[in-house]
Amino acid sequence: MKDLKYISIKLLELIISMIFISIVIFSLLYLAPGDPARVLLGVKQVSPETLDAIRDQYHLNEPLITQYWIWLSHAVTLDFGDSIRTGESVLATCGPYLIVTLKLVLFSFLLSVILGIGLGTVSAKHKDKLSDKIISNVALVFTSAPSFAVGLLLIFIFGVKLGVLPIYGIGDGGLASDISHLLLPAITLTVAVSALLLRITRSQMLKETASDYVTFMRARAVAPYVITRSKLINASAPILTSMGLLLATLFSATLLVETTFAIPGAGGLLASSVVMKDVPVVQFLTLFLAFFIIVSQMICDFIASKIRR
Amino acid sequence: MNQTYIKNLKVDIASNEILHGIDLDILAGHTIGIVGESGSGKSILSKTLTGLLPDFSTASGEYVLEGENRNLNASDKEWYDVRGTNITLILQDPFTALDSMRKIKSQILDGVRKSDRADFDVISALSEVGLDENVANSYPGELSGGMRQRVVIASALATNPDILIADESTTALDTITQKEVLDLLARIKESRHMTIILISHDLPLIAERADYIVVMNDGQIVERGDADEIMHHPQHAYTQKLIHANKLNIRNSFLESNENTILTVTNLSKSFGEKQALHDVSIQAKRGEIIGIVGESGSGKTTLARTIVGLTKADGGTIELNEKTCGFPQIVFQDPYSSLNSALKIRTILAEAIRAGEKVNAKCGKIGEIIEDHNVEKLMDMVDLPHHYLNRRPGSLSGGERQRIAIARAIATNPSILICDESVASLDASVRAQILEMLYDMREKLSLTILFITHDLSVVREIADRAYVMNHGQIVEEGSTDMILNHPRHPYTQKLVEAAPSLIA
Amino acid sequence: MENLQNLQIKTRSSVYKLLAHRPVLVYLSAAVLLCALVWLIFGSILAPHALDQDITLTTLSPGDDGHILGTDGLGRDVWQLLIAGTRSALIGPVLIALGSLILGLIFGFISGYFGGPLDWIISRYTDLTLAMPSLLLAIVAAGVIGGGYYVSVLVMIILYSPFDIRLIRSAVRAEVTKPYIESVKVMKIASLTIMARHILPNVVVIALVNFFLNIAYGLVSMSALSYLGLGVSPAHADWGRQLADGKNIMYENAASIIAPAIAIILVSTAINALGGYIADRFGIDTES
Repeated sequence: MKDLKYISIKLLELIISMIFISIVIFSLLYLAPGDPARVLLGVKQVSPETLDAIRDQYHLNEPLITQYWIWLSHAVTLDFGDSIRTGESVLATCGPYLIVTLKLVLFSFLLSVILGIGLGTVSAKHKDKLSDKIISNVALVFTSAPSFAVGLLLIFIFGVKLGVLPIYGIGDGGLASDISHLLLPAITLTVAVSALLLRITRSQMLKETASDYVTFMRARAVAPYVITRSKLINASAPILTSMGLLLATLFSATLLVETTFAIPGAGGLLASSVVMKDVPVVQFLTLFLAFFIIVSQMICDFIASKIRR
Repeated sequence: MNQTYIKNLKVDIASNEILHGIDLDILAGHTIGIVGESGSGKSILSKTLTGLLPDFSTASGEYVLEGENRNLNASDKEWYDVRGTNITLILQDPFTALDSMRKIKSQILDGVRKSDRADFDVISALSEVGLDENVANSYPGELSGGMRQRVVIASALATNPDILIADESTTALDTITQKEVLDLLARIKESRHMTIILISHDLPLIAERADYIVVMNDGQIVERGDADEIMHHPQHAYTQKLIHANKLNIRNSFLESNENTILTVTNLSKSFGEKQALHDVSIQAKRGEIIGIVGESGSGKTTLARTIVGLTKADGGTIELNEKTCGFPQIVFQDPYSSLNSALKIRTILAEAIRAGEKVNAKCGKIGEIIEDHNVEKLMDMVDLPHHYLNRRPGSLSGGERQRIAIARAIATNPSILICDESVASLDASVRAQILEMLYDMREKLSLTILFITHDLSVVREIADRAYVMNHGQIVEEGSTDMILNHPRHPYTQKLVEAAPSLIA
Repeated sequence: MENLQNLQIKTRSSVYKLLAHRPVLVYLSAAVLLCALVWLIFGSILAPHALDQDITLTTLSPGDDGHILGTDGLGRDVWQLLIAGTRSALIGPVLIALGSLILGLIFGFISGYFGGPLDWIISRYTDLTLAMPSLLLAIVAAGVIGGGYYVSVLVMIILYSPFDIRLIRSAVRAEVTKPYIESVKVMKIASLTIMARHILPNVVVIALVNFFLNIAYGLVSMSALSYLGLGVSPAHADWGRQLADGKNIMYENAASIIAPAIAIILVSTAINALGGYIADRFGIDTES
């Protein structure tokens, strides 16, 4: 019953967030400099008749609120109109790109969780020792470094200097080619986000170590592995919450990393569509990614709240 | 039985010496009471005995635990040989001592050796500490403070220790629960033939429960001996001072005020959600009276105080202040550390209060009715603090000194009523006695009305003319201090009076 | 227990003394920022011709023709561009942090001190915006709107401020219920005085630490924008821009990407390290 209430509140929040974002995204067409009809036609030379036709097609002569309603009712059926650059429907244009991004994000997410929680636990255990200092300081540099700068340095080291890994594109689609092409981008993403998880894990574990129940367990000679397990369970709620944040950061970072490595993914497509002012594609991808990010954060929060009881 | 003792124990923490050479025999089968004020090193002693000293500390000296020599700076791993089975420690706060995410059953089993786990009966372990079997499958969050402390004791007993150290383990509990838990410990000591070390700041408690008393001050043991001997013939000046501070001011003549009623609270009610904090509470106070309001946690006494000063809004009922009086009621809180703004100088804190008081008094045309010519130096004199403290910030003051400043700040506004909400509860006995003495004098000088909110009957005994007893948001009894303490009529008051440890027979 | 707590505080501070007050990292960070500051202030003297260099289409390697770091794809001196780029690397991020701090203080105080329906509205607003991927939206919004550097700064301020508002709100909230505030409330002192004199000094450190972190985030976000070719015009000197341009001439002159990449990483790390150090000194937990 309590869960049901929680979930319905969360769903309501999701809907409100999405409406809010959709308004921002809808207004992009008007915020972009110039006549919306011209924006939708791109750089093509067109006659006034074509412009009128476009205005009719996109209902640009209607009041704004009607336009938004029409746009939204199409959007929920995943109809975002046609891409300005390709002329094809937005969904058909973006589909293949999304799959690549999903692969890349999943790969880096797994890497980040393993590295972040693992090294964070080690670092907390050896607090103030050399290993902790090295881990903490490297983590500091990595949280500060922008992903594209790290990506370019990695391209230079592994691609140009050592020449051991492919630096651009995604190859022919086989598993080995997938891994070798996605390895550097995934490492770049991992470097950027795992440090965040590492620092949170470390500080949470330290907090648990100093708590009374751990002292009392030690006073009773409870086996060390039981104590570590207890600490991890108690620290898991904030760690889970930050894993949601981590996913959000990962998706945002794909814009830069996919551009850097010339990967045909949704992030790179979004970045180039923003530059080219391909507004329908931008609208769809932003809405889709935002939806994905908010939902995954909510799932993480939900599990965290279940743990907290 | 094997001997347990420490010789010439010194403990350094981050190169500050905290314990300066302690010799102590832990007499098997006894209840040893270690009493000392904050900073005496008693907690560090308990941590040393169990090998739980914080990082950056070193200990030197000889430690023989049940006939075996222990290395004081051993690794955590080596301490595992003796912790639990030989000696164990329970801490102060029952709310943090258990893992909130695991069931009670598995936490009790944690300390039981793997080989014995199959035969271990959690239900009987729980019944030994007076809990029923349902508790086994609960989480700590579902239990009261007293029940949690019982679970803590059961978990400590599950490891079958010979020596159990209880470090302020009943301090956070209500008076009646405290008595029950201490009774439980005494019973267990007899049935299991254990040694119990009780550590507390509370001398009456130690005097009542221990058969051997060790008095600590400033990292040293100043006196030790049979409980009766120590309590009746204390040799050391510090022990004498401590005993004196705990039975100060038995006032035989209580003030019968003929002055006007200054405060009338009628049928005050307040609920927080489902919980009714105040239920038709009515009290009166006359000018110059000191009134005790006694109750345990959750009795509604703090809500009453906050409502009178306007920090909480009542749902129903009225609070009337005599219209002839000027100045708002002021409040002094429990925690001296968060009561003062650490960013400001004492002078600024007091000057602000004086200005606030002048504003209020100007409105009703009675500037300086109580104290003429308010100034910060005069205020410092009133609370017995040197003038040069004015240029300090609260950070460099002790708890007692801060509480004096808090009182000075309240007085500065010329209040009609001063409410003290557990204002001496976190102070050491000697400081507490001084502050109470000071408030008593202030009443005489300023004919101030004081409402003293407290869980501690000894405060009422020391300072109040009259008292109200609160339970579950209601006033259950009202009367002169003598009546309440010596001839309580309501069963709850009787139980409370009976449970409170006191040096006064 | 109080004595044990005091003891732990004492222990901590003496450990700091033991390890000397400031770790090496803090000195290094201060040095990096000082250097950046010198570049920012004396940029026009140190690199007078950064932006009016002759455009040639030959890329030179470091050392050639007196170009310390060589030249970029348009034949411009990388070293001079690097110095001139400090401007957009620091000014925008500082403005972002400042703007979001001001919004944070105003709305955080209103929300945290007064509570009530206004607090509810502000809190829902921050909840809502914080659930959204801010860097993603910032890039999209700033990119589509166009309008250059300062419009991007404005977009960033709007997207960053919910975090500041929430942070300051909860810091204020934590103070408001403390006895020292309740004591002055009972004296009927004006709310504005209580906020300014009593609460502000006690939340200012948290705000300051977050100010530092925001500068670092701002640097990363703004250079991300220019890296994608948004925000600044191609004629501007900007580290993100340099990285984007250098990508195509990596084989001819590697310094054209290594230098700006390291500049961004160093400055952003230094700001974060200093912010973290201040947080540490005042016992603020930045991880939660």
